[in-house]
Amino acid sequence: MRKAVGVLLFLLLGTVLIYSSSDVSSLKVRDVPYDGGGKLVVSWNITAEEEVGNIKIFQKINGEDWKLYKSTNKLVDKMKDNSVNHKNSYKYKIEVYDKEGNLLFTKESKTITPGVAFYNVGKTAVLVSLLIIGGLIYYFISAARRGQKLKIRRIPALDSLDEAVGRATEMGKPVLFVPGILDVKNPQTIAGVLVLSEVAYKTANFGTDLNVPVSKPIVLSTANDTVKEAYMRAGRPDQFNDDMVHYVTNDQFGYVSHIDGYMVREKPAAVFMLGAFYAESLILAETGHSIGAIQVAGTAMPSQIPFFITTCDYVLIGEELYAASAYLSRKPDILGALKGQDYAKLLIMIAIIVGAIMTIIFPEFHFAEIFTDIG
Amino acid sequence: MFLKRQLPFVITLITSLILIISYFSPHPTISPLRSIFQDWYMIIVAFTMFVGILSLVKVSIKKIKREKGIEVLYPVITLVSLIVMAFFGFLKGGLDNPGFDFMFEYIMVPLQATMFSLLAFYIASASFRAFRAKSTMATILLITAFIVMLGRVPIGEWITGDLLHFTESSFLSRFHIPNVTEWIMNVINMAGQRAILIGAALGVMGTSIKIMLGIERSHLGGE
Repeated sequence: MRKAVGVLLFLLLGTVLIYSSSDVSSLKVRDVPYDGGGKLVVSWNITAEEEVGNIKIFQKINGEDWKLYKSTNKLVDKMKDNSVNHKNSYKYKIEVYDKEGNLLFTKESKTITPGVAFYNVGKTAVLVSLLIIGGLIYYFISAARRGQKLKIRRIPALDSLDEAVGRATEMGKPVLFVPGILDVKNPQTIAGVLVLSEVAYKTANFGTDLNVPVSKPIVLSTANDTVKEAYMRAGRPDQFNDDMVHYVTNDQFGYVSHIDGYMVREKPAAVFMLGAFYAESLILAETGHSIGAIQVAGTAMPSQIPFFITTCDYVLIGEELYAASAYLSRKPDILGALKGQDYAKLLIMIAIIVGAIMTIIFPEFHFAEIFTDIG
Repeated sequence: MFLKRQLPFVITLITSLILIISYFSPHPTISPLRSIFQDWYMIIVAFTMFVGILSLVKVSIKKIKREKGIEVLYPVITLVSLIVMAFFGFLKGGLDNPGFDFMFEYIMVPLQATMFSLLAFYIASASFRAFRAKSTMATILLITAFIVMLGRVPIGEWITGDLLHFTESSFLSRFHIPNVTEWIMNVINMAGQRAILIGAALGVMGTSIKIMLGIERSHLGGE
């Protein structure tokens, strides 16, 4: 019995001694999920009896020689290795040194090959939103094509289009259209060009001069084709000339000075500013106001909207700019898209209200993160 | 007709589908397509610059022929500036050429600054019009703007500074003018801005879907 107790005590003591003398350090490597196979996370946790001076991290690619990757003195840390490739396999090693530079111990990780994902799960919220909104828009387009009557709200700025062009016609003055200062990559510019089509159609019908100065050469081709087709649609191709749409300069204030000079000299009776605008919005709109032109502006730049509201007669605020072409053309399928957009907005409003209430009642569930943590 | 209408629509549809897929897929064969398309776009933009310059030269020459008196000077100055700047830009050193650099530093930059400085005067005149208390809404706007402006200058800090010094109550410190300004900007103003941004984002989506599916074709010359 005594022997047995003695053996048991020996084993217990031995185990404690073994564990206390050995390090409990760890080196872990894990793949970053849902990426293109270009990221690994290396984490380490070092516990040693002696005071640690330096830690060297080595990397081995495809079984080749170890290469020093990083030196640190942090005992617990992690790093993201963005230099990896999914075609290679990787292994990491840490060498822990004391203050005198003597090697205390080394630790190696398992070999890992970065995984490649076809779909980023972190973007599921975006995909679901896209499908719901896209589905709504598609449903209302189909409904409009089936002949369902769609009622949309009145947008006074767009109702004023006839008034503005008509006034210019009566006064015998030109119409100026400014499609913003960004190129066609920006949706606001595209929306502006779509309205230009309707404005050009009206100037063609009324026989009024149209001037469209652009600040990006790529907008020149798009706007030129749009105006040309609008004149053809109106049955007045003879009235179209290539100089209606012309390039000025890429420079923001050079462009502004050209338009300001034109406004002061030619005094257009109607000025349309629809597209993306920055600091030039107020300079343009104030000059237009000073010459007494009827001004219709529209932008989705929140910081420029107050300037337009102050100086212009009619303003398309944010989404109204994108709704403009549908509103003006009155084509059923385009109106359907607008209706779908409105319902999507209603859904977002409901989601915001429900989300806010849920976040207040159950803060521990972090509902907002569903929409904010997009991978 | 096919080249003018159908082909651009097919290119738009395929390109947009590829870009949407590449947004959701991190796969190394799909994801880089976005940057490849971006490179193609930049190449197209570079070529359109020639079209832009041609348009500028053509319009300027027509104006020189058409205009009389001092009006002729504007297109002449435009053309001379274009030729001189381009000449120095093509010389040795390119954009670092001393001649080009001199004109940029001492002509372009002051001209840009002059136009930009107009903004200060225009803000004053626009504010004068916007802040006239003609209605209840305009009066609210005037009061809000007054508080925001006051909160952004030292006198605003000084007027209600005692609220912070004489009491430890965090409730009273909320009425310190700079804090009221911050609240107006971060809560009321931000809520309005976000509403506009959400609406605009939906508008972008709607427009994109219309263009992708070929429902909206006026930019291609369709009805």
